[in-house]
Amino acid sequence: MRQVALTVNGMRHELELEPRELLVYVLRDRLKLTGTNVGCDTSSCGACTVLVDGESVKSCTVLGVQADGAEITTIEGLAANGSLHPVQQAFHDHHALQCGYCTPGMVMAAVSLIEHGEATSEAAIREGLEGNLCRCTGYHNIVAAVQDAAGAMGRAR
Amino acid sequence: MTGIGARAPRYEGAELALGDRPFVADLVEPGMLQGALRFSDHPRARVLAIDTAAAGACPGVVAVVTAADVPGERLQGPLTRDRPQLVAVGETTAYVGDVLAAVAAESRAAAREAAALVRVEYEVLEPVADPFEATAAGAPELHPGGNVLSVSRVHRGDADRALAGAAHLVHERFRTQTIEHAFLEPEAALAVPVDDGFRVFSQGQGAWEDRRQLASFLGLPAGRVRVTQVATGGAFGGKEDLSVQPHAALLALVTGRPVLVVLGRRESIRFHPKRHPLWLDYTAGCDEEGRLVAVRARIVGDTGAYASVGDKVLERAAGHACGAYRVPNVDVEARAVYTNNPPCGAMRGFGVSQANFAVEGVLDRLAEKAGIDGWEIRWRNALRVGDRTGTGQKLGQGVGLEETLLAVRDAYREARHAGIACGIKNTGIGNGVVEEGHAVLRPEADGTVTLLHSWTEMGQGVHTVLRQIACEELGVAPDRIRVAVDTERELDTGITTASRATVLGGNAVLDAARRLREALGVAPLESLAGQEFRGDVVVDWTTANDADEPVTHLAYAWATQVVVLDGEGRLEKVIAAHDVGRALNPTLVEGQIEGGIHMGLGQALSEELVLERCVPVTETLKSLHLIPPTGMPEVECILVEVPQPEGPYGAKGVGEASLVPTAAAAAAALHAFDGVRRTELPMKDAPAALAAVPHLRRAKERT
Ligand code: FES
Ligand code: FES
Repeated sequence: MRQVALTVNGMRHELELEPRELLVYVLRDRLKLTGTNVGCDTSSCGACTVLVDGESVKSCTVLGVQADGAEITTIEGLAANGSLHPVQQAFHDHHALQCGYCTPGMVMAAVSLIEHGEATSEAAIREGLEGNLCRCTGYHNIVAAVQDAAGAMGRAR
Repeated sequence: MTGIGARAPRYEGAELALGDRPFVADLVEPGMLQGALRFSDHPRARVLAIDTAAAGACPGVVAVVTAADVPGERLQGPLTRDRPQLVAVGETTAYVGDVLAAVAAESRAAAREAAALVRVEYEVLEPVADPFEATAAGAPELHPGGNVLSVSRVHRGDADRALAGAAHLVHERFRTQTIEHAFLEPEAALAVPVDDGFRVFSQGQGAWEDRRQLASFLGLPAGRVRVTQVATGGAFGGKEDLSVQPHAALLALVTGRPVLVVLGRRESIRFHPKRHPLWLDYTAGCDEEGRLVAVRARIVGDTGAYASVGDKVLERAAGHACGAYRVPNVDVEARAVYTNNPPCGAMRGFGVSQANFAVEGVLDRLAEKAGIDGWEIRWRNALRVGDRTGTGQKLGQGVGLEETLLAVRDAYREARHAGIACGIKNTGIGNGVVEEGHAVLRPEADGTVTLLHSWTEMGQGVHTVLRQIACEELGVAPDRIRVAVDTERELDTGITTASRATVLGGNAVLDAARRLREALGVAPLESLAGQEFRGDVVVDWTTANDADEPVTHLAYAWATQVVVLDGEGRLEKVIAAHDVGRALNPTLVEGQIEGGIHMGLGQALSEELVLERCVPVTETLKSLHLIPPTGMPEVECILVEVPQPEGPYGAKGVGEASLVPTAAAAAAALHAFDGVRRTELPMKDAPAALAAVPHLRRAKERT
C-alpha cells in the first residue's frame, strides 16, 4: 500500500493505493467517479480518457500511484454550476453521441485538443482524436461538435 | 420544434455528455460482490474435472459456482436452447467462450485471480474450424441433431430453364468475413436478490427475452425475475443473446448478495456471437437488355458453436439473395452449419449485407456483359410497386428504390471512380413470426407523463423517437416525458432487432396516445395521474418463405449508395440515398446512416475477427482494424420519404439498411479505379483500405 495524494476536479484526496491499481479504477471505484468508462483496458479505445495535469491521458494505462501529486480532471469536473461545458454542449447539439459510451473520453480528448490549440482544422481534429474509438457515429458529428466548441471557446477567451 | 420531423436532441443526451447517465458497470448496491468468469482453454475438449478448491480458498472469494449449482435449465438460447450457460464435467466444450465456472469475490481483482485458479482437466479434441469440415464425411457430431443447424430455401419459377436461355450469364463465388461488433461497452450485468426472486440490471437487447431465459435458468417463474433495462453502450445485434446475466444471477443466488459481472475486452471478443462469414456461390442470368431472368445461389454460413439466431440470419440471407431486384426465377438455398468457432448470430445487416455484396457484384458483371453502366442495370431491374421480391412478396405502397436511384444518378456518372449499389432490408422479423408492439402512457401527479415501452435504447434513438411521437400526439413538451423499460410492466415484444422498434413501438405509442387524448378531452392531464393508457399493435400476417402468396416482411427499407474514390483510389465520398418512409427525426436518421456507413466501410475494407483453429487472435479493439476518424470519407445523406402505410406517419426501419449496400458499392468503386473484381471481404489490400486504416498499412509494410 502506498499513500498517494490526488487532486481530482479540484478536490484533494489522500488515498492508500495498492501499487498495481490502475488510475481508471481509482477514479471509478474509490472516488465513485463513474463517468469515466472502461472500453478495453488495453489502451485501444480512449473511453477512459481524463486530463492529468492538463494532458489527455488514457487512465487505464496509468497506475494510480504514478499520478501522485497530480491534478486530474474527469468528465464530472467539466460542467460549471450545472451548465454544460462548451464541448459537452456541442456534443449534445450536434448529435455527436449515440450510445454515449465513448462520449466522456471523447469529450476529454476534445477539451485537451482545444486547450492545446490543436483543434485548428477538421483534419487536425480527426488526427487528434485518432486514439478515441466510436462505434456508433461514424465520427462526422463528433468532429463538427469539436470544431463548433473550439470556435465557441476561442470567442470566449 | 419537438414533434414529428423535428431534429430533436437525443433523449438523455445531456446526461450522457455529463457522464451522469449510469451504465450497468457503474451501478453499486450495498454488499455488492464482483464476479468473474472462467472460460474454456480449448475450443473443443471434453471436460474431465473442474477443481474449484484453490479458487475458493483465495482471500476475498465468497463463492465459486459451476454447472452443478444451476437450479434450473442450463441450456438456453433465443430460439434453439442449445447453449449451456455453464459447461458441466463430462460435456465437451464448443468454443473458447464456453464458461466453466464463475467466481464472486469482494473485489474485481480477487475474483479475476481466483477464476484463473480454477483447475480444469481436459481431454483435448481436434476442433472443427469451418462449415465444410463440419459437413465432410467422418466429421465429429458437434450437436445431437447433427452439424447442419438449418437449411432455408427460396424457389420460384424455373431457374434452370431461365439460365439456359439467358443472353448473359455470370457465375461467381464470394466470401465474407467474421466480424466483431466492437460495441464500446463490454458485457455487464448486476443481479440483486430481492424478496422472492431477483432483480437484474441489464444492457441486453430484450429485457423480456432475458427474463424468460433467466427465469428458466434459475428454475423460477418469470414473475420472480425482474429485468430493468439500464443504458446500453452499443450493441448492433451483439447483445441479443444472454451474456453474463445468468452468471451474475447464479452467483447472487448462491451468495445471497448482489453480484456485478463485467467482462474485459478480450473476454468480450471471445464470448459473444459474431457476424457470420458466408460463402456465396451465385449464378445469374439476364436478357440482352440486362433484365435479370434468374438467380441461383448456394450460401453456406459458419454459425459457430451455438445456434443463437444463426438459422434466422441465413433465412434472411436467402430471402434477400436477389437483392432489391425483380427476378422471376429463383433457386436459393442457405445453410447454417455448426463449427467450433465463436457462435455467429445477429449483427446489423443480419445476413443481408453479406448476400447483398454478392448479388450486387453479380449485377456489375452482368452490366458489363450487357454493355450498360452500373446505374442503368439497377434502374432496369429495380423493384417497384406491384413487383415481387426474391421470396415472391408482391410489393404494395412504400417502395422508394427508384427515387433513391434517381437521387444519386448524376453524382455516380460524373465521378471518375465510383461504384454504385442498391439495398433492401426488412423491417420486422416477419417470415410468419407474430410481432407485437406495446406501450403505456401514464400521467403523473407532477404533470409529467411516463412512457413505458419494451425496446432497448442502444444509441439508435428509440427513446428519442418514441418520445417525439408522444409529444406530437399529446402536445406535451419533451422534458415532460420520461421513458422507461422494465419488465415490471408486462410489455413483452421480444428482442430489439430487425430495424423494427420505430415501426412497432411507434404504432403502439400512437395507439396509447389516442386513448389518452380521448380521456384528455374530458379531464386535464393532472387529474388522470396514475391511470395507464395502453397501446398495442399486432402484426400476425407475415408468412413463411414458401407460402403460396408470401408476405415475408411487414415493410422494407430501400437504399442506393455511391462510393467515390479519388485519383489514388482512396475513399473520397459516400453518397447515401435512403428511403426511410418518413424521417421522424432527420438528425437521428442521418446519424444512423453515417454510423452504418462507417461500419459498412469497415466490413468492405478492413475489419475482420481473425481465428486460428477456432481461437480469436485479434483480441484487442486495435487489431480489429475499425476505420479511424481520419479514414472516414465525407458522407452525403439524401433522405427519400415514400410513406409506408404500415408505419407510424409512414416511417420504416433505417438502422440496418444503412450498411447493406456499402461493401458492394466500395467493391464496384475499386473496380472502376483499378479494373480488379474483388470477391472477398475485407478488401484489405485495396488502396482505399490501406489509406483508411493506418494499422493495415503498417502491417503490410512489415511483411
Ligand atoms: S479503457 Fe482505456 S483505452 Fe480503452
Ligand atoms: S456513441 Fe456509441 S461508441 Fe460513440
